[in-house]
Amino acid sequence: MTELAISQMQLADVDKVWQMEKQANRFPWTKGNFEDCLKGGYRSFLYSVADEMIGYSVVQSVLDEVHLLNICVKPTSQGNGFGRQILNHVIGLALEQSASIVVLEVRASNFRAQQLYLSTGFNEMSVRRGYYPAEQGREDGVLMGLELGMLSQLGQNLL
Amino acid sequence: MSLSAQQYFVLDQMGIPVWVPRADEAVTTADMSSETIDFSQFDFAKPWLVITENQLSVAENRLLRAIFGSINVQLNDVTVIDMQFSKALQDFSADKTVALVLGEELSQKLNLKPYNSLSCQQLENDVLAMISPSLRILLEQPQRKEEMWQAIQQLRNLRASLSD
Repeated sequence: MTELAISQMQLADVDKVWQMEKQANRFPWTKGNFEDCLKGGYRSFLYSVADEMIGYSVVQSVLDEVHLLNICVKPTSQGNGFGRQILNHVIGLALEQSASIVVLEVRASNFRAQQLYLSTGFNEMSVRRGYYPAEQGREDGVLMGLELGMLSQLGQNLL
Repeated sequence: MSLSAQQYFVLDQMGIPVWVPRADEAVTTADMSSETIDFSQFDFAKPWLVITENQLSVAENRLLRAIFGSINVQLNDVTVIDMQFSKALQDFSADKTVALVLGEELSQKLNLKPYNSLSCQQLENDVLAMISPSLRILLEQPQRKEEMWQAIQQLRNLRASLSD
């Protein structure tokens, strides 16, 4: 398993992050979305292998909830387990902070991502009808949550 | 028994969870068992003060750590005082510290003063204070998280204004 190097995303990184965002998503965040998150104090991370950025995450903490707002692996680096590593990093942050739950939203059509989340212990909490823009109108968003009660009691090595 | 990183990796690959006891960071609060009240245990220079009715339970401690963690504040920077030590409140400085009062009933016992037109109030020694639901209420009624989130955001703004 290739170990990821983790660093804090800075405003100076937004250009390259946005390039990756556009490569990986049909409906990418705007550059302003990333800038707003950084200015708003959201925790944002870059993940690299051999000094090459392969992904990023953006996380918002609200009291005892951690909201995973964006998680991305560069398309050419997908299929190597990096998404799971990034997800585990975010869960680790949540545990460090004593959060009780990690929540995220995923497109209903993104089965690959949902599979990753389910296999990590997330459960579907609800569906937001027509939450995402799509090629043909709108698409549902699936709200998923990982309760950390068990992990926080027993330790992160459960991951 | 401690395992090496390689052993953790192999167990993970086989889908075998490794259970370890969690060591929680303790919140520094007064020792309830002490017969003599000793105020020297408090660090009056800490920037954040939390006032509670009673000593916090483990679940409340965890929630408090998460709440302050969500605004990037470590509990090392927070003094938690329960009402048996209320006399110590007068030794905090309004220039350095802001307070979070956990519970509306508690706020009435503290004789808080209004402060200008802002939603915050003041302790008797002028320390600015926000009132939020108690942690017990928050654990029982998660729908009240919004009130706590607003209070903690305003508390952060108050603290930032002291630093100016």
